[in-house]
Amino acid sequence: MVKLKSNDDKEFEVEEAAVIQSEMIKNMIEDGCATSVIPLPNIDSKTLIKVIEYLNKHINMGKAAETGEEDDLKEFDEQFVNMGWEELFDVIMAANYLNIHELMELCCQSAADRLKNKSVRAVREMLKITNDLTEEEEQEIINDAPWAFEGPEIDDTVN
Amino acid sequence: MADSIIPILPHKFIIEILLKVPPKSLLKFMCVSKSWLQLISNPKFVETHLKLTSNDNECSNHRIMFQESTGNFITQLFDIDSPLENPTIYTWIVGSIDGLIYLYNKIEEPILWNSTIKKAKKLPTFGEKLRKDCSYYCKYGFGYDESHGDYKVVVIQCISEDDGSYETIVNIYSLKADSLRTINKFQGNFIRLYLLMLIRSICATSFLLIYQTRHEKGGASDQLRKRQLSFNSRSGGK
Repeated sequence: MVKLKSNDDKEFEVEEAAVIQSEMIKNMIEDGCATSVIPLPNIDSKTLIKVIEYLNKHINMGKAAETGEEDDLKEFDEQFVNMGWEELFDVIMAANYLNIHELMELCCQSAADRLKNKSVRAVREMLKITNDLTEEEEQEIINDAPWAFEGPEIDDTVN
Repeated sequence: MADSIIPILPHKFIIEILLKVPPKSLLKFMCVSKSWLQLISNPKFVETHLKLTSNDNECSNHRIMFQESTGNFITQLFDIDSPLENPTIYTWIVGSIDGLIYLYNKIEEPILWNSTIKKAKKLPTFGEKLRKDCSYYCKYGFGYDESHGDYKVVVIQCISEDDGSYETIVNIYSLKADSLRTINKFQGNFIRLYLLMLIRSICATSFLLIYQTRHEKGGASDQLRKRQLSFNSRSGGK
């Protein structure tokens, strides 16, 4: 077992087989730097619980194909990313910090899926982006491909 | 929740996410801000996006395109806007790579069409490069030149001279340079000319042109010779 500590000082025990899906921790263990508790100063306990839930489920990913559990994993992944927008950000950043490639891909894909039909205004709001384009510049982009800004799928809500 | 402030996602993550967004959304998102406009217009970003979408195991971005007898195009039972105002039954698709489609309408009107972003580009006409005062036929090819990261059209004109001899001229159009030039001339009667254009994963170096030719004086043997030619498309100027 490997002990992980979140930035709000909560400790979690995780099986080594699960935790080595994190390249960062795998390297620490291989280098012999993981003898006691591994502090994770960038991750809070709420996010860490989510990450550990993912790691435990994906522990035998390689075997899933053989045992026909692929659908089960797919379903888990779909449920897993069904979280709040801010929470998703936290998991993306934790996955990046811990270097868990599959989790990073999963969460970024979910973010992309949520954004793709959003209106420009909604995207700016969701990502806290200030528009620094002039009205003319903006109009020019719209005129270039007006069809991309139209359609019943365009969603102006911000969640 | 202790903090309800939405964390600002670093640029690196924005790139990761936008690489997973479909092209139509990217066109829209160019309007979000200056940095998004720059990112999405960046050729490197486009190239990475293309690689990711074409590596999709489920082939969800693959489309089959049909042509109706009227000349219009439909893709998987949906009409798509043809870039040609008056497509005819003589309009045909020479080839397609990465969603770019090379359409042949008539010699005067070669068109490169990006059906994903609904943009078409008229290419410089091959007419001027072709000899008209003779009988000839043309072969067309379209491909991606990986070594130069460029899409190219090849037009081969086989001319039958009055004295019974033949000449074959190869013209090449580079999308990057937006120019057309003659890259080679051969003497000979090419009864068959096959153009295998640089399939991305197979052909790493410039163009590979494979053709079969028959010796004019080969007589009854009609021996087919196979030859391979490699063009460095950069030779001979831009």
